[in-house]
Amino acid sequence: MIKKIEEYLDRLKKELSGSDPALVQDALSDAEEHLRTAIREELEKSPGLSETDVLQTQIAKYGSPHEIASAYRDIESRMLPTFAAQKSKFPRSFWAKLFGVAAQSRTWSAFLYVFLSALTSLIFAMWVLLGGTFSLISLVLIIGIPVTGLFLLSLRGIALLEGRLVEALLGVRMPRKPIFVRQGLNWRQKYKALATESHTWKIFAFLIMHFPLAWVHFVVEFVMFAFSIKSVFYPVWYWGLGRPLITIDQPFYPPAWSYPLVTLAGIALFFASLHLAGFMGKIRGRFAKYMLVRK
Amino acid sequence: MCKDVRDYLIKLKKELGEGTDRALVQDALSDAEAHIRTALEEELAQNPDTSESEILAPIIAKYGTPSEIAAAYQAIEPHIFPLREQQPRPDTRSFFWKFFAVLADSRAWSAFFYMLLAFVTGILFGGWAILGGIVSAGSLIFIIGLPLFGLFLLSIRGIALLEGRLVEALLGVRMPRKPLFVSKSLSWSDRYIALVKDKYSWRSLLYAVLLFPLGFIYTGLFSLLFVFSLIFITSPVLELVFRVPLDLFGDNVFTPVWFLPVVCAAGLLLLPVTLHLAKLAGKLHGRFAKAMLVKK
Repeated sequence: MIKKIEEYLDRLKKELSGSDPALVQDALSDAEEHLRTAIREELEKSPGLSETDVLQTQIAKYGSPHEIASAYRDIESRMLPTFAAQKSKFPRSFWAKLFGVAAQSRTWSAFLYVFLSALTSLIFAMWVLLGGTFSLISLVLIIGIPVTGLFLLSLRGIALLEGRLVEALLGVRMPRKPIFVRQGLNWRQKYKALATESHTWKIFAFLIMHFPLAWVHFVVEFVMFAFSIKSVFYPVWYWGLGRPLITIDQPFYPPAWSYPLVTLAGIALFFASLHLAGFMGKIRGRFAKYMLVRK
Repeated sequence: MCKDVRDYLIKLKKELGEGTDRALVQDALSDAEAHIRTALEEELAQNPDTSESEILAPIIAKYGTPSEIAAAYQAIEPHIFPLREQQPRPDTRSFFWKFFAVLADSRAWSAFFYMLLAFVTGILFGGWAILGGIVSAGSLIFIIGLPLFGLFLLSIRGIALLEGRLVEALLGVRMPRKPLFVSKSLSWSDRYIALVKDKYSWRSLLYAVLLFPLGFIYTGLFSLLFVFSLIFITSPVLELVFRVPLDLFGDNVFTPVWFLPVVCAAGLLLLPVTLHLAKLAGKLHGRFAKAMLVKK
């Protein structure tokens, strides 16, 4: 017999243990929203009933924690993100792994993430630094309290947005819904919950750390990729434009006999840059998951 | 009873019906085809003397009849839609409240971000479509041009999938989640002809080319609107504290102090207007992407 919503949520969480944390966050948020809204509506209709009684009928309608958990797990197995890493049925040879990376859509989606995240991380980090400083300063005045609250709320929105991008491009399951906020609480309780929750501060830390990470990766990736294209086509580049291969202090013109080598090195660099994008995509996906999903 | 795989797919499409989302139909058909064809090929490899129609029946029995599969996909779809649809309840809030509530609307902000990122995707996808298209079409005068052009069209399909993922994540429009299934039993030339003849390839190519100018327009317009509204809102601080003239009335001219509250208020109105516009543009672009990037 479940007497309180918190108890229901605890049991649901236990039932879902071992599942993906992003799925757990979505399932708990769904259940809480559904039950709380239903109970409030029922109590408005017939105020004489006790909350526990209403909860019983609503749980019977919605499903027991066990039923709900198995329903979510069942759905989840069919809705993996598009670019999720999947184990191939057949063992692939070393060469297939080395060069197959260019034909995998998830490599290119991770590659695109490198470019897009340079921009998003800049915008988000600016918002965090400027908004954070501003709300910190405004705390001197009484108006600073709501300003800081709004700022912390905006971090959650950013986490959801970044999560959507990470899931779309890196294939890591991230929360798909905003976290449900109880309507019954008063402002002070909501505020306290927001400011004391480690989730909020983990997002804050993520957005600050993500900026240098995204930019270092972007620069390395861009230089590697652009230079690999230049090397592959260097003979054309030289005969057409007469430009050097690379300029470090002095322009360097490789001798004509080495052109095949330059092209080969360019091909190797091209695949290295794709492997880097894929590898970093995995790591950055894990990092985002660790920091942006509520525990 | 289904005669062959195509028959099954046609029935499944009919079962899913007109009302079902087209992206869902594409995914369901692609899933079913991938599953059944792979199973068929494996069975045929084991017992080469059986006919295709003989083994098809048990495979379908295992996988599910078209009506079962259609029902399963329709049942699951409401759970896998990424961004929650707006509550169907009638919106009784006042106009004033609705106008400003867009500032807290995650859909408006995500559409706004799509617009800001559009120039990057526009350059990458559109640049590739234009440059790659010219180079591979030009190379068609040599024999090596044929495979090059095929690879180029394949890459355009990859771009369509990728852009679809972004559109779904940020604009909340259901787009295909899986690459289209291509049967491995077809010969190279058949696959090539199917790729070139398919209108889907050409629509995707057109979309990628159009994204190039559109991306610049979106990003230019929305970053301009956003920056202007921020400058207007902070105009009293900029002019009175930091002594930066806004040049509203000519070069190097400060705005009259009595006018600053008006400028600030204009900024406060412009910001929600920008977000409403972003939401609208996102809706329209989502429809455009769906029309171009989902197989009919």
